[in-house]
Amino acid sequence: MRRARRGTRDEASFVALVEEASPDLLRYFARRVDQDAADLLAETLMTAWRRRDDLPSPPAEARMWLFGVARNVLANAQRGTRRRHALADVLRREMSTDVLEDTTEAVALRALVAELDPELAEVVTLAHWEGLSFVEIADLQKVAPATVRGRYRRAKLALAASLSDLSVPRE
Amino acid sequence: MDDDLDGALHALMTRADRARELSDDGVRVRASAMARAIVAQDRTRGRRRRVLAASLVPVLVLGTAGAAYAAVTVDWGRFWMQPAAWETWALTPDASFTYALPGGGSCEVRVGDVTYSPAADRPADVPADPAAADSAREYLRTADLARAIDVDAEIAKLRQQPMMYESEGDSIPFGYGTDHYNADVEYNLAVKDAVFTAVMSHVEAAGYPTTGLGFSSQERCEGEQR
Repeated sequence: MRRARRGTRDEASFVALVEEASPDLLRYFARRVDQDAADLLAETLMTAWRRRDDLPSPPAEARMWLFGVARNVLANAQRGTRRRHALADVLRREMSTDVLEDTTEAVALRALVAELDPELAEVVTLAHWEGLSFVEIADLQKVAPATVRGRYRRAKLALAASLSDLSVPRE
Repeated sequence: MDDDLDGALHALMTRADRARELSDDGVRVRASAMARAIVAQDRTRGRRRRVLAASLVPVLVLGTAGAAYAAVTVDWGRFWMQPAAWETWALTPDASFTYALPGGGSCEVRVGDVTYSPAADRPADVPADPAAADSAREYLRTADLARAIDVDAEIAKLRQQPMMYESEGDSIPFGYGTDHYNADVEYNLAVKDAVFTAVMSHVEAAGYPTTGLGFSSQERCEGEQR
């Protein structure tokens, strides 16, 4: 009986966490892959449920833990392992109708970011697209916050140098 | 100068963000349904997963302390770990057959425990029909499963899809062409995939959605390559 009640509580807190974090997680994937964001979200949720014993209780920590799972799922996907999930069918169909035309400028700017060292690009995108703090990024990258600050500065200078060489307009 | 650069970088990154108009509410509804479905599937298939878990998650053996480098390997002995006994449902399975492994060993597979448990709060456009379970059960009881399954086709699929073992933060490629390739393991996985494909294809061909349909399999192998 106690197991049943605990199971129900696990499920309720998991679903609540997913409801809160899923839009940001989906954007996280959508910004970094072309087609697979819904499947990667499904993969993240499946992994998170499988590892729910590791899920921290404080909401802010739970959210960042979920981002950590998402980061690993993305890394696996970028290494070439692709999975399709029936769970994601509806969301995938909906997303395909939501993609707007990318501007040439946006494509060019993202190409500049993609030319950075991966750890620099990750710092700058997590900071500006996901709005994560340096401390949160340090937690994800498993390095000291000072290292993240250094990476951010290197990314900033590298992008400034690229912009001065290319015709991408600056504001 | 830093402040100027920070402002310029923020503007640049805002403009570089993908132009997507995702509705937070819509995503929350879909993601919440996905989360509930994951929980429901996990509970429905818990028994089957318990049977297979020990064999599908091999142990990583790290190099001994003092070695020049830590060699990561896969202990296939865990893969072939036998369940203690046949599950209750497997004593009266809907189907059973024996097949030979490439290395000369053999496995007996029992299939049954057909269940129908679609998520109650699934999206409205996802159909489900309890007749799917009857169709699956009838197929298992009447078909010659050993002849019906296409193991070679499943092996071809496995070889096109990188496979990883994920354990305690490590991911190890283990399929064809990797250092951890094992022909018996590949064949065993392909047989299980082929059974799944055959059952689901039959149900779909009969005109029923496979939503919420589940079944269990259990096997005992001997003489396998480790």
